[in-house]
Amino acid sequence: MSGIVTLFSELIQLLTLQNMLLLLVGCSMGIVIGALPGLTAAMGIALLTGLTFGIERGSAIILLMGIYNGAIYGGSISSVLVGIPGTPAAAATVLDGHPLALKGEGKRALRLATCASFIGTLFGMICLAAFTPLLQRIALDFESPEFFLLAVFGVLICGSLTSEDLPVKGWIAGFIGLAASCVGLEGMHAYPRYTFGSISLMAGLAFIPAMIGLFGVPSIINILSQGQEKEILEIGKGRGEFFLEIKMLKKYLLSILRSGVIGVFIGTIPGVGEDVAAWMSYDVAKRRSKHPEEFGKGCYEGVIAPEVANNACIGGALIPLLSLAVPGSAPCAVLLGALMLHNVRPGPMLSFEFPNFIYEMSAILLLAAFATRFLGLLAIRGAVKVLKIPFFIFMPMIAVICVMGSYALEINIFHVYVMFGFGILGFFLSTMKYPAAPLVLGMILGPLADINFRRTLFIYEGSMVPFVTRPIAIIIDLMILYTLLSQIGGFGKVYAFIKGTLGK
Amino acid sequence: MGEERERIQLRKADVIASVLLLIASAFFLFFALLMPAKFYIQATGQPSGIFTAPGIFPILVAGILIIESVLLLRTGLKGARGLHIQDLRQGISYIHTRIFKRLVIVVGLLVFYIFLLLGRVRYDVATFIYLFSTMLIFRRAKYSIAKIFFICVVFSLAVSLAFKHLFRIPLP
Repeated sequence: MSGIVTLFSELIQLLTLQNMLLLLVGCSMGIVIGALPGLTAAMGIALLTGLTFGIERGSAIILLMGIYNGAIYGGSISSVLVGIPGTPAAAATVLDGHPLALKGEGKRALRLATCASFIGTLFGMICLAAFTPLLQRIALDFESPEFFLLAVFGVLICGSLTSEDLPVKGWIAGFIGLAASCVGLEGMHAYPRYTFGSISLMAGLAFIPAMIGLFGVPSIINILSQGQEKEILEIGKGRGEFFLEIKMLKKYLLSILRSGVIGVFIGTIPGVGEDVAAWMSYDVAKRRSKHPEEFGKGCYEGVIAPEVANNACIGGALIPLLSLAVPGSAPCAVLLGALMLHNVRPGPMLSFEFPNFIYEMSAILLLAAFATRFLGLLAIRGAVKVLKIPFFIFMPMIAVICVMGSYALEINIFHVYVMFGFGILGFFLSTMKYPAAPLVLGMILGPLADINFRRTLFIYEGSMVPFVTRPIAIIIDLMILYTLLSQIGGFGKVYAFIKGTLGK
Repeated sequence: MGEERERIQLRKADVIASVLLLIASAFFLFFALLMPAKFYIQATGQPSGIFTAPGIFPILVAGILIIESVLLLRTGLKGARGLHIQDLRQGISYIHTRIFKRLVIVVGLLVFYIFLLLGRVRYDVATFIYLFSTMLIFRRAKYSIAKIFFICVVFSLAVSLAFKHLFRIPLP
């Protein structure tokens, strides 16, 4: 009960003209970023994080949360009208959204996507406010061995679930991230590791420029070198859509609730994120539907289910971020960097340093849901106009913003070099089907894993026993073991067989 | 059939990548082993032992990376169905494709902007040069040079002014 009161009091405090304007600006930017194929929510947040350095903490978070929520929704615009997902999170929406646009029902599909995104965000927000304090209480029992194991589990599960080719590629990406986090002065004795005498490397490889490079530069190189352009369908007309939305909500209520639960659950798994949530929700909706044959041909449920799930995933991904400092998705990983930049350290101690922060974030998410709903209905035509800007004009502009976003972080040209270096690495990795998200997660969780691994060894005089005997550690060990074994050799086949049997 | 060929190509690339990763991990391990092993706790002056040594975690990471590289190499060799001289020829022929040439130009222009223009030429001028040259090279016929010129001037000035006056960030 006190949680609800705190949530409303935070909500009232946030209702200022400046905040509302920032939220609208953030959501608009997010919608545009999300709508443009090749630009992702993570990239949008990463680009803007450096620029929020001089802005007050609350305002910066409102702006970034607006971008996050707006971008996840915005992806549906190009999914429906272009047939290319604006963000990976909206990939599942293409399957039924684009056929609807081809039938002349583009506007209806977009209105449904807006409505579904709104409900999804609300669902995620409720779970965020309800479950984060509980998890935070459990996290207070975490000690060094658990934090080390949690970081390793985060990297491994993220690698397994985001790799579109071999799971080992995801793990490799994650461990490259952990290796990159070793560069610079280490946290215990301030010993310079892998700096080779360079003063610029003493502070380590800043992960915000690295993220801008990993998410931004490969898109710029790929789109410009392949000469990609897009064909945009007309929005189409539709009257009495509001009543249709109500009717749809009633009809697909069960599917909406199920997608919300899937979205939040997938969100809580470290580093996995909105795209997996949307696909899983689409798959479940299709399998549970009375008319699965309609899916892929312009079915309304095929738009609603993934859009509810990908937006519900935002709240879900914030749960481990705020309670354990382990981001639930790639955009959340960037958001973690942004929070740290503004002196907010998520994790078990957050409730002591900023007692109402979880409710503040929930209130921001609630407002972002309304702002996106409002803008989604009004600004679809505006977003379509931006979509019409050809890539050869748009992508060089993005390159300039990538450069300035990295530079502005600490007014340091070295960060621009780091951004470029990681951009080239990201390009090669994406060409060879290595996911970028585990690398980012590895860079973020690296210091946490390093310090807690050594602290455990020091406290227990070199004994590895605490990693396998403490109750919470055993649970995380089992999760790690399951992640590894489910992907390797014979066990993988048994696992796939069991999964297939259960599916039937 | 095309998918299968693509998969075999990917496995061949995996073999090369795993070898490079093995070498990089070995270097990473080598430098980790060179790190000092004994440290003292500043507050008490007591030795903290080998367990807090800065090289411990990098050794662990390098070790796991080596194992992962070997796993990738094994999968790559299984799926690649051998490496032939033809693969090298195919690689060389890719250099002559239009996509590769465009790729080199995109990266080259970025290198030119980041390493040669920024910090040496006024920021707005550097940005204009980068934008105009990139848009000009990749432009579609229906966009006139005058229109592109105008877009580049407006965007360069807008970014410069926004950073200077709105975000109050000194330009490079």
